[in-house]
Amino acid sequence: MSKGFNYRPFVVLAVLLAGWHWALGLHHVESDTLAPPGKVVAELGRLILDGTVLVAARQTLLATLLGLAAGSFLGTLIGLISGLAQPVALAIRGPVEVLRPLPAIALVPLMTITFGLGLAMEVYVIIFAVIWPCIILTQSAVRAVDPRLLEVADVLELSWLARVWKIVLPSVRPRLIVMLRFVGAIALLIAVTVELVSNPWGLGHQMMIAEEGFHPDRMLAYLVVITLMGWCLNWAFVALERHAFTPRLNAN
Amino acid sequence: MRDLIKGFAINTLSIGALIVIWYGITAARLVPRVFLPSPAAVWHSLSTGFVSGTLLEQTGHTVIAMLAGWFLCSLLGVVLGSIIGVWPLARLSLGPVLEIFRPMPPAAVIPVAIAIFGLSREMSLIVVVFGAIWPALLATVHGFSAIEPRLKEVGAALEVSPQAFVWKIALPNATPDIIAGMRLSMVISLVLVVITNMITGQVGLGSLVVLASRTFDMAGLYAGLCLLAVIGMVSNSVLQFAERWLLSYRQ
Amino acid sequence: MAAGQSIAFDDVGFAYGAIPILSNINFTIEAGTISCVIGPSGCGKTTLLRLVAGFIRASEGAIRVSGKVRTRPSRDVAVVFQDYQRALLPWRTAYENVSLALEAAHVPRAERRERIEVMLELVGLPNHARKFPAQLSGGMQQRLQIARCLAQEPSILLMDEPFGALDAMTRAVLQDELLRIQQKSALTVMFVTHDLDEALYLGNQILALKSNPGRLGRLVDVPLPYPRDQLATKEDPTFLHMRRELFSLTHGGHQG
Ligand SMILES: Nc1ncnc2c1ncn2[C@@H]1O[C@H](COP(=O)(O)OP(=O)(O)OP(=O)(O)O)[C@@H](O)[C@H]1O
Ligand SMILES: [Mg+2]
Repeated sequence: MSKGFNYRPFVVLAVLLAGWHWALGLHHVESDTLAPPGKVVAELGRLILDGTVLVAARQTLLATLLGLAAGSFLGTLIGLISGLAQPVALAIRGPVEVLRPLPAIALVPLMTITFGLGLAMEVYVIIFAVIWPCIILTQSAVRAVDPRLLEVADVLELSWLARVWKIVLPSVRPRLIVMLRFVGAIALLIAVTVELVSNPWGLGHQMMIAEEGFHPDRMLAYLVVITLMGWCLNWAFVALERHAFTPRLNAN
Repeated sequence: MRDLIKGFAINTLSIGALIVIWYGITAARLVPRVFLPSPAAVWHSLSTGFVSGTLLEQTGHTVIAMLAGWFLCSLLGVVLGSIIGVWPLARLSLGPVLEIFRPMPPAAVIPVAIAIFGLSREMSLIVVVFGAIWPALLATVHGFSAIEPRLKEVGAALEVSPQAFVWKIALPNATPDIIAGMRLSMVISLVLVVITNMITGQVGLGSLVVLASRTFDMAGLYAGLCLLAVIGMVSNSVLQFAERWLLSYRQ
Repeated sequence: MAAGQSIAFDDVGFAYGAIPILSNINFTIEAGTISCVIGPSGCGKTTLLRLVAGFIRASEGAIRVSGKVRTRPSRDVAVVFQDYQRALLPWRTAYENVSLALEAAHVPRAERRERIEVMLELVGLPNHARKFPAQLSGGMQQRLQIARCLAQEPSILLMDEPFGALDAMTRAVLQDELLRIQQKSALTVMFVTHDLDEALYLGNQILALKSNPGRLGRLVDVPLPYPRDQLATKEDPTFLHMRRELFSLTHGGHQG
């Protein structure tokens, strides 16, 4: 189509915002269910200035990153081992097939009984949510390693560890980074959800309080913050992908 | 087919092994009963629940809500995705806007939906559709935009009409992506049904799990979890089967 | 099948952005003849074919098909693509792939069956009608693509190294089949190949392209009579003589 600046999405956004503003003005419902965009921005500014948003955001981010780190590490490890050793893959296949489709959120009550409310419980739920996709994706990444390279490893009589470290890991690295972006989004989703459902902690909890306290402007401000956090996380992983996929010519 | 049976056998075996291990742990009392009831207790809870009909009702509500949400979001996602995929103007104007909303964790709209619709089933359906539409939508857009240029030329050389191009070339070409997206949508759909159900407390497996935990009915809690796992597994296998059948041409 | 049409290249040039790919192409292909295009890899043979197909438009000059300037693809010009794996619909069986051409031409359903069967018979795939492209060998896929192009009932057939991936045996059979069809229907064929023997065996005339930018190196008529014969024609003194001459031309071109 046309070259140059693509202004169209901005038109769509402007129309959406105007429609939002106008619809609320028309129905006078703003007081306790929804707020117009202007009020949301003002409330967001207030929340940033008095720091409550930052505290909540840090809590959510902490849980997300801890769960993501632990879950993806464990999942990748299990995926690597089972991708390389057929018997292990067969042994874990059943449990993986059974536990993977179980919505992690359904574990919240159980986890709460076991670990109580707080950071630990949230992190465990995230680990549970993240570990299965990591196992599956790592397994398939390992299986996609060029068999020719593994034959090279055989010919060179590399040890098992050297084989993993020098051949398998470097060749699965790009896929693992893509996987990280995928499960990163899951981790944030689960963190926010656990907070919404029960955990008195983080952005999700603040948002639920705002809703229950009939502060629609605050509720929507938190929604904006959560979305922003989703972007930032996504953007960080995209940057990581770029970095990892740029061929380095002078590796010294 | 033989692969399928073999895979099924292996899965059954290892799930059986899992239950045996579970039994061993509880029989040896390695973990307090409060945290991990025995398989027999869970089985008992399941069977009495189904005999009395309450469990059946809860399962039914969850499954129906999941299917309704999935069906709606697949339909909307594929239609919207096709429009965006086929019509460059729509792609240019809506594509970036979708990119803005996509990283939003779907559950975060729950409070907003509650504020507008209250703790109702409609609220739940809307949350499910809003959250689960993304995979179907984005996969459809991708399937349409990633069309093999050679096939476009084949269409051009045959002077295929635009409608025929969509039906005969673009849509079948996008089918693998669309099915993959719809499978993911189903997973998200179940997750969101459970979440909204936990929050609203209406009849369903999500509220069952919450109530069971409040009364420390661990067998009931595990029974709910087992049912959710089964629902997830069955729905996924059905779609996987459909996928294989639809894409059998790929060998 | 429709009788052939002539193709005239009128000072045609083509560039991707600022990079000239083809320039000053001037020649005419008479209706009902076979013209073979040869030249080193990357010299612009495929680009020339795509210009005639109407997928891209000349940056300079014009291509006329029976006097009319060519601007967009149309059903009377069929294209056999070099990369046949990508040019078939993987979700359609062999039968259905041929059917696409008839559906596009709005042939009533009742008539399709017979015509599809004739086409599949023609390219030697009558027993593979129900197979999907992924279940066919490379050579079979290419024959399937040719069947679809013939089902289109074109008056011009553009072929881009169509037999490149085939074994010698199938290749010879298909060459003869192409000649037979062409003689019968007076199709105009433009045939890209990098095989000199193939070009001489098939063509009424040969266009030898040079690279950087692609331009006409030489245009020679092949005075060998039709019908041609895999053994007799290739032992004909004229054939051998022309082969030698063109060989030194195309290979000398690399050094000069
Ligand atoms: N989309 C494109 N953008 C820019 N340059 C292109 C593009 N397609 C082809 N070219 C260039 O045009 C030139 C001619 O390409 P073309 O495909 O016509 O060659 P060819 O003669 O068919 O080669 P071969 O015998 O290998 O098939 C090449 O130098 C190629 O690099
Ligand atoms: Mg070429």
